[in-house]
Amino acid sequence: MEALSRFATRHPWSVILLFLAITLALGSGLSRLRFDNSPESFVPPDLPAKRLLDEVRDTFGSADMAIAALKGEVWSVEGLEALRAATEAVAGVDGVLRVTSLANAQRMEEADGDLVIEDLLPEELTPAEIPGIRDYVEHHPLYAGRLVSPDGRYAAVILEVDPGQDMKRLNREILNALKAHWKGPIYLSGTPALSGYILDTMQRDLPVQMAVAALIIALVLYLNFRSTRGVLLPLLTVTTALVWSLGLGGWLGFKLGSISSILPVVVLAVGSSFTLHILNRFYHELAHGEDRPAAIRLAVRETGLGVLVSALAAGAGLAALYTSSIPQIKFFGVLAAFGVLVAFLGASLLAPAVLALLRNPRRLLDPERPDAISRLMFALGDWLKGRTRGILVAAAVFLLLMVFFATRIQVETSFLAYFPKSSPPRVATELIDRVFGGSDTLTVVVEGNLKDPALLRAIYRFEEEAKAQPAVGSAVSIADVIREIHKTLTGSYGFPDSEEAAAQELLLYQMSGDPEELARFITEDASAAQITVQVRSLPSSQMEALVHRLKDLAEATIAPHADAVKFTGTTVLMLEVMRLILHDQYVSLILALVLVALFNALLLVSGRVGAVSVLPLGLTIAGQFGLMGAFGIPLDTATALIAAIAIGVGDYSVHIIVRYLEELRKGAVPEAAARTSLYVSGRAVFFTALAIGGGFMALLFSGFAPIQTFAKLMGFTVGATALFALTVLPAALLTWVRRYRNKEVVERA
Amino acid sequence: MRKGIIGLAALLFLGVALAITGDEVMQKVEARPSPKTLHGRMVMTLVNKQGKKLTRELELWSKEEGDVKKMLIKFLAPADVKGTAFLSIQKGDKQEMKLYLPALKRVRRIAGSQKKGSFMGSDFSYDDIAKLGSLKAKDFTNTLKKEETEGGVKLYVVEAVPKPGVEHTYDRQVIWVRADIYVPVRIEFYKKGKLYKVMTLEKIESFAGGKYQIPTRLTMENVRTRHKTVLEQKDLKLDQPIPDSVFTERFMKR
Repeated sequence: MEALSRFATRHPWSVILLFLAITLALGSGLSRLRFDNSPESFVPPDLPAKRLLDEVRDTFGSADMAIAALKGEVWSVEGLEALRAATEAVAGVDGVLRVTSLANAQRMEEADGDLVIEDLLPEELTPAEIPGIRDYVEHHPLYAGRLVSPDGRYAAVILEVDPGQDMKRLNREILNALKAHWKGPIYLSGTPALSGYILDTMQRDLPVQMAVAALIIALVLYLNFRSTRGVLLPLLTVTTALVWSLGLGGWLGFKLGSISSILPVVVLAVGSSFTLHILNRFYHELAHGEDRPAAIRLAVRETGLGVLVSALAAGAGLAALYTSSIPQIKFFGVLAAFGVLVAFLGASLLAPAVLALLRNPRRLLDPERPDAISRLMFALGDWLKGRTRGILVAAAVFLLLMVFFATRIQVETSFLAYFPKSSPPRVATELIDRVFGGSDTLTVVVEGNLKDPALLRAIYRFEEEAKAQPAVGSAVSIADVIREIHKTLTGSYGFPDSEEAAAQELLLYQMSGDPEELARFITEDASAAQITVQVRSLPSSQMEALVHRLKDLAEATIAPHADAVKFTGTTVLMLEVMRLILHDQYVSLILALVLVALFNALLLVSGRVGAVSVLPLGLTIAGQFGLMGAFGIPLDTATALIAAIAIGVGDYSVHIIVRYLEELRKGAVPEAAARTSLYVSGRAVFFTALAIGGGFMALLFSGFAPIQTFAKLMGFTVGATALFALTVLPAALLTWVRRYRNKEVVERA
Repeated sequence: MRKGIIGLAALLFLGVALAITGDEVMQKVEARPSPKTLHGRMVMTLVNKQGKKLTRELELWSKEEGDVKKMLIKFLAPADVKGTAFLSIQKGDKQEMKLYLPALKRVRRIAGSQKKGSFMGSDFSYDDIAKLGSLKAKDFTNTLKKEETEGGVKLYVVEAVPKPGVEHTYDRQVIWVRADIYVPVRIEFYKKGKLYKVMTLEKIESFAGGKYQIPTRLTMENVRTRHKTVLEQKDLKLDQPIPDSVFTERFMKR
C-alpha cells in the first residue's frame, strides 16, 4: 500500500494519464451496453425447462401472449369496425407474430343444411347483423369471455409476440397501433408486456437513481469534510469505477436488467467509502502538521489495510454472486466486484495522485477532530466496559430469533410483483384478470396420437376441470376446435368416434382457414398439441401450487392416453427461477462469508480474528432474512442480492479491528485499545455508513417494488452493520482477542 | 458531367431494351391456351420449418366449359383421410362447393367464401391455385421492372398492383415471366408491404406438342412461418373427355 502511494505522489501525472487512458478505452464500451429484462435474462440457457420452452415455441410459434383489453361499446358497427382496423394495424407491427380478436375470428356453423365457413365479421357490416354475430360469439366456447367480455364492454386482442424483440419498443408500437383506431381506454398486459414495462421503467429510473445517489453521497461527504475537494475527490474515484465497470460490461456484451440496474448505485455507495477513509486520515495528518507527501503516505499507510480488506471483502461478496445460475445476477456480481476493486484502486492511486498535485487547502479542518460524534464514540467505549457478556448474549438471542423468522421467507418471481399497486401495468393486469379471467398463460404440451378420440376427450375433461379452479380463466386446445367442428357437422357437441373421423374433421378445419391457425394448436402430423391455459397473475407461491394441482389433474386425465404431458411457458420458467434463487442463496451466502473470514484471517494473520471479524456481518445477514420472514417481504430477484451486497458495504469491522490490534501491539490493555479504536475509527464508520446508506436510499426512487424494498432493507443493513461493528464487535474482541503479539499489522499490507 | 451522360445513355438503352410493356407481358401470359379438361394425381408435400415432411396424395379432375369451371379432388393418402372429396363448380361469379367426409358418410354443401382459405391445407390458397395461369391483366397495373437472364433464358420481371376497386388478397405481386413461352416461373406475394409468400414454378412441362405449358412441380413458401408446400402433378391427361357424372355427389362418395 505504501509503495502504491509513494508511486502516486512521485508520478502523479503518469497515474492520472493512465487512469484517463483506461477510462477512455473502457468507457467507449458504454455505447455498447444493452438492456434486457426478458425472462431469458433470468434463466440459465441450459435449464431443461428453458429448452422445453424453446422447443414449444419452435413448434407452435410463440408461447408468450400479451393481451390488450379495449374498453368501449363492442357490439356496435363502429365498435367492431374500430376493432377490425386496430387488429389489422397491430398485426403489421414488427415482432407481432399472430393476432387474435373478434375481427379475424371465423364462423363455422350449420345453416339450412349448409356448412357455413366464413369470417365472423362480414366485409360490409350492418347494424342488423350484430345481434346474430353476438349470439354466435356468446355461445362459442372458444370466443365467449375470451375475445369479448360477457357484458360486451371490453374486446380482447390477443397478441403472440416474438420473445427476442425489444419489448419496450413492442409495447409502444402495439399501443400506438391500437390507439390509432380505438378511441376508448386500452389496457395491455401479459408477460411480454410486463417485460416491456419493466425495461421502460428501468431505463427511466437509472439516471435518476444515479443522480440522487451521487447527490446524497456528496451531501454526506460535505458534512464530513466541509470542503469541495472532500466531495469531489471521492466522487471522481467512484465515477471512474462506474465508467470502467459499465464500459467493461458493454465490451463483454453484458445486458442490464432490472437487477443489474442497481449496479451504479452499489458502486457509487460502496466505492465512495474507500476514498472517504483515506481522505479522512490525510486531513488529520495535515492538521497535525505533516507536509503533503508525508500526509498522503501516512494516510494510505494507516488506513490502507482497512480499505484493502474491505475492498477485497466487498469484491469477494459480490464476486460470489458469480456462482448464481441466473445470468443477470451473475453479470451483476462480476461487474459490481470489478467496480468496487476499481474504486479501491482509485482511492489508493488516483486520489493520492490528485492530492499530490493540489495545493494544500487554505483552511484546514481535522475530520478526526473531537466533535459530537467522536465524543459519542468515546462514551460508547466506556459504556461497553463490563457489559461485554450482556451484549454477546443479546446478540446470540437476536441471532436465534432472526434465524427462526428467516425460515418463513417466501420466494417471489412473478413479473407483476415488480410494480407498485397503483402503477399502470398493475392496473391493466388486474383489469384483464377480472374481465377476461387471466392475463398470464400456462402451456401444457401433450404428445401422442392426437387423432385418438380417447385422448381428445381426456384433454377436454382436463380443460373442464382446470376451468373449475378459481384462478383459471380459460383453457383452449385442439379438443375444443374438434368439438366445435363436430357439432357443426353433426348437430351435437361431442367427439368423433374414430381416428379417421377425427383426421377428416381436422382436415376440414385445415382447409377452411389459415393453416397457421391450426398450427398453434397442433403439429401437422398430429403428434403433439398444446393446451393454452389462461390464468390470473398470481404470486409465485400460489402459482406454484396451481401448477402443481394442474399437473396432478393432467396426470390423472390426460397421461393415461398420451405419450407425455409437459407444462411450460414463461410463468413456469419463472417458477424454476424461484427455485434457483433459493438454492443459490445458500451457496453464495456461505461462500461469501467464508471468503470474507478467510481474507480477514489471512491479512490479520489470525484465524480467531478472522472469525470474530465476520460476526457483525453474520448478525446483519441473519437480521435481513429474519426481517423478511417476519414482515412477509419476499425473497425475489432483487432481495436475493441483499446478503451479498451487505458483505460489500458492511465490512466496517475491519477498520475497528485494525485499530484495536494496533493499540494492543503498542502495549495498551484491551479495554483501552477498544476505546481508542472506537474513538478513532468510529467516526469514520459513522460517516461511511451514512454515505453508503444514503446512496442506497436513491433506490427508493425506483419504479419497481422489489427494488424499493431492497433499498429499505439496505437502510437496515447499513445501520445494523454499523451498530454491530460498534457494539458486538468490541465486545467480542474483548472476550476472545485479548492478546496480539504479531508484527505491526498495517505494514503487512 | 460524364456521369450524367453515361446515366442518360443507360436510360436510353434501357428504354430500348424494355420495348415491351408490363401490360403486354401479362396479356401474353393470359393469352396462353389452357386445357379444357385435366385429370391427374397431385402429390402434396408439406414441409415445416424444422424440415419435417408430411405427404398427401390427391386425384384431381377439372373441366372448363364456357364460363363454367368444375373441379373434383379426392384424397388418396394418408389412409385416415382417404376418400375425402371436395367438389367445386363455378359459374361466373357464383361458386358452389361440396365436401364429403367418408367417416360421416354425408356430403355437405359449404357456404361462404373460401377464396382466402387454404387449398387442401397447404400454403397455397384457393385463390393462388385459381389464378395460377390467369391473372386478369386488366385488373392490375402491370409495370415491367427489369429483365433478367437465368440459365440462358430471358425473364421479364413485372410488378402487378391491383387497380383501385379490384378486390385482391395481396397488395402487390412481382412476377418473373419466361420471355420465350410467357409462363411465370416465380411470383412474390406482398401483403401490407411485406413479402408474404413466394411461389416457384420449378418444372414446366409442355403438352400437346407445345400447345400447353403446365407447371408440374411448384413450391409455395410462406416467408414468415418458413413453412412450404411442394406440389407435384403426375400422370397428367389433358383435353381428354371427362363425363359430367364425375362432378356429382354420387361420384364423390364412390
